[in-house]
Amino acid sequence: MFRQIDPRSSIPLYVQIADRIRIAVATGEMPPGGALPSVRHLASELRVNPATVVQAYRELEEVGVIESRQGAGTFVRELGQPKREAERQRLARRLVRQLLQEASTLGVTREDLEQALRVEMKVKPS
Amino acid sequence: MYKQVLKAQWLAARLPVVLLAVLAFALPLLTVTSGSGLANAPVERVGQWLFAAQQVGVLIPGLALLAGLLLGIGAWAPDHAAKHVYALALPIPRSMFVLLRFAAGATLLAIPVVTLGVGAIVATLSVSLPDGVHAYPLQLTARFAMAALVCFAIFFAISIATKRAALATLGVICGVLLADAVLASLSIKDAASVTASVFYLLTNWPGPLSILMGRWALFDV
Amino acid sequence: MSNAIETFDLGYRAGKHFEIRDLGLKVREGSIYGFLGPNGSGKTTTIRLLLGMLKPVRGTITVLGRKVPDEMARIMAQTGYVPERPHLYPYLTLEQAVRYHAAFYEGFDMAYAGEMRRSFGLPLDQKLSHLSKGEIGKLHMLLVLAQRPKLLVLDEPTDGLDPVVRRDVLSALLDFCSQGSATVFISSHLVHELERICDWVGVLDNGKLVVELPMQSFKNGIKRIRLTGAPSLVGDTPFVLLQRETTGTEQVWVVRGWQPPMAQWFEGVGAAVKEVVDLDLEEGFVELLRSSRAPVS
Repeated sequence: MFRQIDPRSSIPLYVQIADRIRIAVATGEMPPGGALPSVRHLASELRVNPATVVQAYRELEEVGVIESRQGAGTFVRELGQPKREAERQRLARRLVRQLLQEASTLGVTREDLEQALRVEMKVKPS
Repeated sequence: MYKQVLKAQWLAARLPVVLLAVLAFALPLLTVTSGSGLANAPVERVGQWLFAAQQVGVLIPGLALLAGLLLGIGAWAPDHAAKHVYALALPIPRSMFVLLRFAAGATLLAIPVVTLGVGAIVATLSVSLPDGVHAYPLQLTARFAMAALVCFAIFFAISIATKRAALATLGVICGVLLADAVLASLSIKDAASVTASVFYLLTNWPGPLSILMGRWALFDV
Repeated sequence: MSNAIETFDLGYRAGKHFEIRDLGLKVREGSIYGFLGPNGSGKTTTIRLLLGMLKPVRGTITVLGRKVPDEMARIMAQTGYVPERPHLYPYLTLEQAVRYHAAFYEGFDMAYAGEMRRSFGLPLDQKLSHLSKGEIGKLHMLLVLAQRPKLLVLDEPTDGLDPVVRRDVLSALLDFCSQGSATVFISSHLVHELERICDWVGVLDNGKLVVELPMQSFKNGIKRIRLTGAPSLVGDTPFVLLQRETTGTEQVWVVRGWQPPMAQWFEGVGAAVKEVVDLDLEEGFVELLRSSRAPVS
């Protein structure tokens, strides 16, 4: 599942990790009630500072994606269908935001983008 | 800690220790070759035999010197190779580590001492001595132990020294020899040789090397 | 929050020139501190000073709350040190080497050592002289981690190791860190490796500490800014200007300590910011060094 996190990216590592988990939860890859790897295990596997993993988990807990149970570990919360849909929407909007940012850097106009979207969506099956 | 230091030192110095032990065992036995039938032999024959025994006996302080040299230098060889980094990083004071190495080296030194003792006793038992001739196996062994320890201590100390100190020591020795050569070439009458004076100082009590001097004989009157 | 390592005005000289100058390190307890610097900047010398192997010409050093070199034995009892060059006895077998090391450390965890040996795939009865560089690297890490120390001082622990071994070594290190609150002081010139694991970074160049910051601040704060209309004379800036050059109609400034509101400063001097580019740690490191060696006019 993971986890080619990129230390060179300007996105902080803990955000990258948290995002990966959010995506996994939204797609159902990490099912509700499923256990997350321990901080120790993940830090070692990803070769990142354990504090980074702790931060990622804390952020996820704050937004209600995961919950930690005393002595048992950290688990994916039962997100109802609407919540999962909201997650997907959030991710989709983030993708679009990135696209728009890059487009403006490269000097690609909105019209060019819309055109391209139409073409690509027709060609590639959903 | 001591156990591990001893083990490490043994593993590094196995070969020299075994070699020394074999030599130490062999030397006393060499003194008793041709010793059969001495009990009733004429005085001249006994005299000749004693003289031969003493010749071999001279080798024993030589062995003590060799043992001290090999084990003294061998004690620090592994540390020198890596510039003492491992030893310096250990959680014990440096003086304590030096003490551990010294104790380990001295313990290994005991091996040739023991084999010498065994060899001396075997040699003593294998001859029937004429009246007036006595054997001194234990005294010889004790003397050898002391001599070897002193030599070990000297070479151990030299070995710890930094390259600079060791070179300085060597330089002093060369300087002394050079001074003597110069004095000799100038033919100054009655000039005492510096080397001879230093040698005298070292080898006469309380000089440290005095222990190597004198008659080293297993059998004596 | 106390400091595991603290130096004040540390200076060292071996010959005519000062190798280390005015060094004021502060390594917070529990952090993973990356000591970055090009080859020859004095990283190893600094480490040797910290561990009492060299005597400083000036300044004070405190490690784990104790003064160096007064309480060296107590400090080293809680410190795991991996030097730059192999220092173990090559004629010992791996098992003998582990037992030797264990004899000196009270809390040495033999079970943990055995676990690591198995996961590293190290053979018990081979002499150290017959082990590969990677195996020796793993052994070094195994020995210091099994001590369960409060402080780890690692001098280029993955240098010269192939990527697979590097991963294994770092994984083991981080696994240990997750178990407790050890402090790690790791020197390296492998910037990307440090980028992942360090939460603090100190950059050494030519014996001087150029910068000491939380990793995230350092990374976020170094930017390359494309702008037009930049002034030729620059007075006080809210950021630290590292480099600037002109290409055609544009200017490119490399700055440190950047925060988004600072864009207003540019407006204030009549310049227009075209783009703010993030630099990764390596690029930032290079720019930092360039500017510390040839300060901006």
